[in-house]
Amino acid sequence: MSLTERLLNIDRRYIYLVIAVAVLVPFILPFHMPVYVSQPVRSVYDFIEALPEGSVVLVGFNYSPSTMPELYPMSLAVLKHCCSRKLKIIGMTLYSSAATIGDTALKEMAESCSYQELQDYVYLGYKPNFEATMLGIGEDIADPFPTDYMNRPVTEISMMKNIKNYRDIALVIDLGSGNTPEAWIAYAGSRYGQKIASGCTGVMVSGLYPYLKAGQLVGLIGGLKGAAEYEKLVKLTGKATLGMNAQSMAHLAIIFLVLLGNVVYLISRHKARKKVKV
Amino acid sequence: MFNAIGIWVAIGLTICVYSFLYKDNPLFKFAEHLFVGISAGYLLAIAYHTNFLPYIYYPLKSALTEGKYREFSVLIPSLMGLMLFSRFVPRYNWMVRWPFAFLMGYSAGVKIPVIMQADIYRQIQGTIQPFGDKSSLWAITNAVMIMLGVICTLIYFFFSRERKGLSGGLSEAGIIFLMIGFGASFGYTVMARISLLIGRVDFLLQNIPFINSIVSNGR
Repeated sequence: MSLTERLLNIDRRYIYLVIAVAVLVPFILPFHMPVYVSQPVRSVYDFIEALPEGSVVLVGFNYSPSTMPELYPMSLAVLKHCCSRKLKIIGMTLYSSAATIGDTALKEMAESCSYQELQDYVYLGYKPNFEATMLGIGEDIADPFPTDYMNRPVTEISMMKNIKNYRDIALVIDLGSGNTPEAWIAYAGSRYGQKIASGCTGVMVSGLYPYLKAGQLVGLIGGLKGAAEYEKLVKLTGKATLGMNAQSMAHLAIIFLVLLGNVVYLISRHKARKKVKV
Repeated sequence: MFNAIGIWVAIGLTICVYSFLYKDNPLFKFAEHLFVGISAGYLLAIAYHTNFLPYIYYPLKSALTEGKYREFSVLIPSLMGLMLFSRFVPRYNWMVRWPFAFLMGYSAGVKIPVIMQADIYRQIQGTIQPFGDKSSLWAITNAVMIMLGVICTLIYFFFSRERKGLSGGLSEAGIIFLMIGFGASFGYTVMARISLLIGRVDFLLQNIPFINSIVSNGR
């Protein structure tokens, strides 16, 4: 068997090994790849930056633990920005498996910037049924969320006294791994004219660009790269920034393997044609 | 103590799942089945606490004990929900039509107007918006590319005319736009999957004591 044939029939486990090494090396021998901020990420940052102190931001933690590596660092960076601007934060989730994630992220944020629960931020917890919840917030937030995560009546929470519906919310930020951004755009954006920003997994980015281009999203933070860009904007060296080194190395390895595969394939095809001519 | 046990269980299960990359094996099967079982149990518990208790049990309890008779109205949707299970009894499976009719009517009424607005009108508007409001030559080029991409792709999916001449050329261009779109989506998908791997690797390196010390020294 020639070298090209062997390379074309290589065991896929060698490819896994190459990727594993590419991901591991930056953790053991760290280096810093530059992170450039793209316009969709900057748009989210600029929108939050322009909000007056005390404005209300609704943050939806709509992702399951499986997508935490991408979305949790993004959540922390966005929350850190909100608290540095002294914005009021309402947290909630439409994913049953994300109930504790939102609570953990808000508590981590509160610790780092001395935010007080029920005064500076509130976590409403999980509510099933996207449509009914999003439409319900448009009428009265206490309808879909009569109590917060700890079963305290929402109407008795001091921060929520002057917050009734989307009119009192400056921005909805959906940090999601499913179809919640589209649902917010349809139910809160189209129906109530609510401003919406999305932080999503890398898989979803290309599907959300049309909404960004049409002005239905104020900005878009996509995947680990988007999270690293946001960390750069808020001057935070978090997991996304650290992870981008491994990400870049893995991408380089994949590009090399794709090129190698194509070159080897072209060589083998050229050889096969030569054989036929002979 | 419990936290440490939890971390070691997570480490063990991560290794069990990744062992599939070598080949299918009993450790992977064990982790897979455990995940399915725990997910089902967790979702059942969540559904009980977030749906059954607040929307059925507590209203009925208050109707019976506090005389709030209006709360008996929850019996209607509850019965309709139970009627969905009539599917399993051939003799009574006609009953499933009523809740389905309600669900379809509700969904159509709630979804169609907003989806039309968000996914059709605003998207068409975004595609054909005039170039005059664009601030730079680059923005105008982008707008032209989007418009061309949409037209060519739509022509590619127009099957009532033979693809030759101008329509053939435009549909070929449509294929190129589609391929670029698929390529971009695939690139993002690769990025997302690698991110998940990075998350797991980071977790393992942070929590396995011996390896943790090597990584900490590196950082």
